[in-house]
Amino acid sequence: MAQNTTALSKKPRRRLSQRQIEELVAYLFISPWVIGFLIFTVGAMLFSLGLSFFDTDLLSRTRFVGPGNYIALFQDPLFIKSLWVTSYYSLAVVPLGTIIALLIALMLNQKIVFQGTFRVIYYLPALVTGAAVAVLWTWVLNPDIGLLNGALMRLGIPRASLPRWFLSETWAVPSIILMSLWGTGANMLLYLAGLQSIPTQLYDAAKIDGANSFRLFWHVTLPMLSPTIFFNVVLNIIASYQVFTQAYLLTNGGPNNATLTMVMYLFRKAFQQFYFGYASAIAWILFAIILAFTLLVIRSSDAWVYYEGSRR
Amino acid sequence: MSQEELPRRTISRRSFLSMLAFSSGASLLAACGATVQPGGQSIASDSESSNSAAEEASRPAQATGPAELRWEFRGDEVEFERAKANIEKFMEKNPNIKVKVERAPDEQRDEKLVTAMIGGTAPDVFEAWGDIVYKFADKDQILDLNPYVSDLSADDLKDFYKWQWDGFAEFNNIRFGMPKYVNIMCLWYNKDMFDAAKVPYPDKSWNHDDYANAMKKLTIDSDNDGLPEVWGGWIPAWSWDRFWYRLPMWGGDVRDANDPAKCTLDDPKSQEALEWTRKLMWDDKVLAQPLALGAKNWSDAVFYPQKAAMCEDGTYPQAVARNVAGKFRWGYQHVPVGPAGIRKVLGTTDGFCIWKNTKYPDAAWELVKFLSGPIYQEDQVKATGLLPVRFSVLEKWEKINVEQAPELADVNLNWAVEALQEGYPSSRRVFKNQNAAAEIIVPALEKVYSIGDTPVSYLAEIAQEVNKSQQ
Repeated sequence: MAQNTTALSKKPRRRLSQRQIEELVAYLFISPWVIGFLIFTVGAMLFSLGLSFFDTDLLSRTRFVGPGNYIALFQDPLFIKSLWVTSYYSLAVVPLGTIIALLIALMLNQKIVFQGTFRVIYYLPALVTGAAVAVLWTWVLNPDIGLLNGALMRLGIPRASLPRWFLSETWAVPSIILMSLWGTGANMLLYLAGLQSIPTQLYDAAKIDGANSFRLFWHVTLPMLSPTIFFNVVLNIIASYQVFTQAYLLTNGGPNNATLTMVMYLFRKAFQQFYFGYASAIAWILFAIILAFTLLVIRSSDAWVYYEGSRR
Repeated sequence: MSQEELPRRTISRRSFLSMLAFSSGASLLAACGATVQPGGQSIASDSESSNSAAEEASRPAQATGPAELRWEFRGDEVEFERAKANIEKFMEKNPNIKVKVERAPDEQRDEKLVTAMIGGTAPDVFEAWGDIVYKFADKDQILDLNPYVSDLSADDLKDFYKWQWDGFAEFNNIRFGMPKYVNIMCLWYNKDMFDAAKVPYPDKSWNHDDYANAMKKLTIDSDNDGLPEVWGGWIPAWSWDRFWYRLPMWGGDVRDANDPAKCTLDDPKSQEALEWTRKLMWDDKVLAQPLALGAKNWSDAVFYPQKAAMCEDGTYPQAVARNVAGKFRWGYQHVPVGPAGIRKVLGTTDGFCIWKNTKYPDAAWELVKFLSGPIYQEDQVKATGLLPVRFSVLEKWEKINVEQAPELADVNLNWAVEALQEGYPSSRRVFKNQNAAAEIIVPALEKVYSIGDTPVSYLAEIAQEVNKSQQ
């Protein structure tokens, strides 16, 4: 009897179930990334948010200014200019980049001789980045001895009418747009993969119903490719608003601030003039703009993105 | 209420209280914060502003024990190895000081240095010059060397060039460093092109009319398309660094000599100087127009490929000799004198600075004193051919360069010795709020000289804007 009492008074040890063990192991595996993310991304974001309410150079001066940085930004003509330049760039690059990448992907999806070689050629520019691209395009777009103006002159355009590209306030942003569109190979690859995943039965069925090429494209290809287009558009909006390298390497924001993008202005304010609080405020405004555009596209996706198997 | 009647949407008490708390908090934030000017600078009272000049300069205390210094060296690999070899000599003479030489990054060095200063890991000794040092001096990151230079003897002080020595004490009333080397602007010219055009070589008596006339004769535009195959001259007038020294030659200037907050680009004499360059570049088309912005459009892009007969640039005899590589004969000459009878060029104030938060200020002072001393300076001349910072080494400069590259015997290196002995070079003009001034002036220079569709009167218009930015 005493033994039974003793046995009953001992609580059984709690063992983790198999599912709990698996969950724990999963968290352990992702913990390095999560910790890094929390410290170096979230932590840095929160620090910059705090900084944006101060006038500080992080060295000799820290003064609380509340929303002063944000108010001053909207009175700063150079910030307004950078906002305009960045928006102009983004509103051109995103739709043009999408259309050009899609057209190239459609062409490369045809069964032609040397199909593989053409795919490599169109993708190669996407692999070239940074200073190499800057050097190349400085030469191509040189107003006096560049390849592009040379070609335009051969088409009969007089020298005096040729654009001066990076040396013109009107043509400086189009120069950078042109440079960005040259590297559209990465998007093209995604569209090509999307095109090849469209079931051929859909095309067969449509052809039986009498659809011509345009109708096949409009009613089969585009809807089936819409998730890929949606993904690319969202990523391109985010990337285009953060344009920096091209402007920094080619024009340093000139001539006369014609290519001064928001990230360039942020870089200048932070690392060249040491206004870290002001620069942080620019970063958060940029974040808000990108978030707004992204949400707009996501909200609109119900109207034009079609997922196979979903109901409308 | 029937089921079909939907309740009216009203703001609940909780929502109202939340909104009230939020707007009160925002108002409090706005009221408590200082005002910020567009551009980033907040308006502070005089008592709040940090100004190291207000404090009496004194030597900071040094940490105990043997000193360990980090020196961030700027230069190529060959110079880096020579610097390390020289440091061995320094450490032999100073056994209590260990120096680690680190090579500065090729790109974004200043930005990385700022980050290191913020993180408390900046090197003890680093290199800076007039164009950038104000950024660090304004942030109280540079040790004032005024208390240390009293160690130097009168003969030692006389061995430095007075204009450069004074130039090191222009920022915040501190002495920001000891001289590293000096670069002075001069006229490079292609002798073969002068011979072919039958134009006499430039000499010291040249004025700006002679200069302009020579450019016109040397320019070759065989198809008259407004794009010469060979330009008569090249002057980077769009560059902040280089446009300003022509103005004093006319009797004007970028800013008032006694008031660093007053821009004088609207002075009629300044306007004449600016117009001289613009007219030759965009009306007469004999001064090379820029082909790109920034560093990609520099003298090496026009002089070595023989696209310009003359260039105004710095004194790098060995580098020029290497790049010309015997393709044509060339020479150096003084930049021509201006209409006001004044000759003025940029003379750089590249120097060795000590980080204010170094643990070993006395040891760092010994190091920078050595680096500006005759032993290191002479070795630097042998390694690079650049002009030394001392008269005693300048006497050997020409001979050392000719020994390294015999073709330099023909280029008139003596012009630099004359220029430094006469003392007409000058450090660059810096405004009280240099960032704000550059943000206005540099784009304006691009409009006038890079784009070329704007008259120089635009620079007069922006002078008031510059003055306002200095408040």
